[in-house]
Amino acid sequence: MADSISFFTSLPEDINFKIASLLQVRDLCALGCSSKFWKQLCFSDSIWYHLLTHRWPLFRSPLSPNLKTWKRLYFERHIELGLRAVSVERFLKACSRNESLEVGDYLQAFEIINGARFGFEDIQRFLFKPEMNVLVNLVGVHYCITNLGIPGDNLVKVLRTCEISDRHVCVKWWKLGRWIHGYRGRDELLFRWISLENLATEEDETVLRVLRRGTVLEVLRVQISAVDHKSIPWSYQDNQ
Amino acid sequence: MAEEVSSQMNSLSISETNPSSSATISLVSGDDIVFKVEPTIAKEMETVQSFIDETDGKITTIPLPNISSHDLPYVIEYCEKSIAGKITKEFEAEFVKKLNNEEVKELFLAANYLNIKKLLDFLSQVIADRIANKSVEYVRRYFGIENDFTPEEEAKLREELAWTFTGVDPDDEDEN
Repeated sequence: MADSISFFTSLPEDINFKIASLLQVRDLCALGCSSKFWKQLCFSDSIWYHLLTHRWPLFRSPLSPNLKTWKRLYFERHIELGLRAVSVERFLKACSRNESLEVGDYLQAFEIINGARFGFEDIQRFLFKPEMNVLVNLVGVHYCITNLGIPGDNLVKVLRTCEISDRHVCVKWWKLGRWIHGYRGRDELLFRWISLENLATEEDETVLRVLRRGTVLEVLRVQISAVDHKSIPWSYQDNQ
Repeated sequence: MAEEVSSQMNSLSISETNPSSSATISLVSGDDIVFKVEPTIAKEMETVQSFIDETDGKITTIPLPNISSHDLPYVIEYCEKSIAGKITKEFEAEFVKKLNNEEVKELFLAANYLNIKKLLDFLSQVIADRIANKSVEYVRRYFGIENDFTPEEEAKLREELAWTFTGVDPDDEDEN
C-alpha cells in the first residue's frame, strides 16, 4: 500500500511532471510551496515556458530569455496585466458622472486593454468579476468579441460561469435629425437596455457598432450607463 | 502447437496453453487473492504483457505484489471498459465518484506499476482536479508531503507567490 510520506517522491520524475503540467497556475504554485522536492519540480522552467506561451500565444520576450527565467516573465506579465486592469477600473470610475460614461472615455479604457494585449484568460481573471462595475465587464466583453474573436456561445458560457451574464448596461445614442424638405428634423434618441449575454450573441451588433464607432458621422453622442435609462431624467439639451 | 510444460518453479504459474485458445490469465494481488481475467486485458497492462511475452505465453499466473485485492478490481474494471472501447466521460465520472483520495493515490501507483497509460493519464487529471484551488496545507495533507522548508524559506516563497493565492477554497472537505 502507498506509504503516504514517500508517496510520489518515489515515482519517476516524468510521472510527477505529468501531474504538475496538468495543474492551473495557482495549484502549481500551491504544490510548489509544499516542499523542496515539489518546488524544484513545479518551478522548472519548461513548465512555465509552456504556461506562458499557452496563456499568451503572441507574447515575445522583450529581453533575451537567458536573462530571466520563463517563470519570472510569467509572473511579471501577470502582475502587469493585473495592474492595467486596476487602472482601467479606476479610470472608468473617475470618468463616470451619475453612473454614466461618455463613449470617448469608454474607448480610451478599451485602448488600455488593447494596448496591453490582454488574452481571453486575462479578461476573465481581471475584468469579469461580478463585484466590479458592469462597465468594466462591458469593456471586457466588447474586447473579447471585437479583438479576440471569441465566438458568442463560448463567451456566454464564460459570462455565466463568472456570474455576470445577466448584468445589464444601457447604451444611448443621439442621431442627427434627418433633413426633410430643407428642414432638419429633431435629433433622434435611441437606446438599448441589454444584458452582457445578449450583447455577446447580438446578431446585427448594433450596440457594438455604436460603441466601436463612438461619435462619428450622424451619431452626435453616445453614453453608456449601468442604470436603467428610465431612472435618470436626463436630456441631451439640458446638458448643453 | 499445444504443449505441456512442467515447471520447476511453481506449478501454479504453469498451465497448458495453446496460443490460439483464450485461456484466462490469473492476476494475484499482494494479499494473495486470484483474479481471473481474459488474456486480452493484458494488452492494456504493459507490465503484464511483457511478463507473458518473456515466457512465450506459457506463464499465465502473474503475481502483483504491489497491488492489493481492494484496488485490483478497479484497475481490471477500467481496463475491460477500455478494451471494449467504452470509456466515456460518464463512465469516468461514475468511476471516480467511487474513489476516495487514498484510493485514487493507490490506483495511481498501481497504474504506474502496471504501466497502463490511459488509466495513468486519467488519474493524473483526477489528482489535478482534486487539488484544484486548494491551499498549500491541503495539498501537503493530500499528498502526505512533509514540509522541509525553514519558516523563513517558506515565508519568502509564499510572499513571491502571493498573487496566486487569493480566493482559495477553505480547507473543509478533507476526506482521508
